[in-house]
Amino acid sequence: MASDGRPTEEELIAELEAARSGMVMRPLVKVFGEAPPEVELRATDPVAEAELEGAREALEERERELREFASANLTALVEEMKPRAREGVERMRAWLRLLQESRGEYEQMRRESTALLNDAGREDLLMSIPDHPLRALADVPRELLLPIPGGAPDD
Amino acid sequence: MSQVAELQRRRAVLARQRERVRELDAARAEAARRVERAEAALVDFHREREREAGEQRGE
Repeated sequence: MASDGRPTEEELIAELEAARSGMVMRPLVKVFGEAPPEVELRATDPVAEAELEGAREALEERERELREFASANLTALVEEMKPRAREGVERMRAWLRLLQESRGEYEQMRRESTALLNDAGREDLLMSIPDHPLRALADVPRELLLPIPGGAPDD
Repeated sequence: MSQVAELQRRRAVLARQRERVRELDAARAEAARRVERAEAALVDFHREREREAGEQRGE
């Protein structure tokens, strides 16, 4: 390090040599539209390049294997997944039925409470009837609502 | 092993291989950037030295 705190030329050269260690300079052709192509030398590590190339080939092989496996065993896979899928669908249907029933109960309660307060001449208490629980959904950002397969009707 | 378990195992293998490719690619890019930075630092050093020499000559 030089006295002014900046690296010396020797240090910069050493850093460059260290960075280029194991690398070879390969031409890189750059094409910009109609202009003649530009060629520049780019430091490349052949070992790292080969390793990456091998990893990419292995990735393609794994992708192919997965596709072949899923395709060849599709029927068996579907059969195996079916009971759990049915269970999930049934559970969701049960929740929806329960929700429908609860909504009906809430609306009945609201009508009765409103009538009672009107009978008692206490319209000032109407606001104390709890809001419809589903109204909370109005404050939930649309993207956080349950996704509806196939999109919502207005999509 | 069930077919679904085998499917999940293969998906996990695939995900690991994707991650391996991503890491190697990132390492390669970082090594190239290190060379570019070192080259640029040396170029800057020489420019600065020339500028300082010019100032001393009264240019």
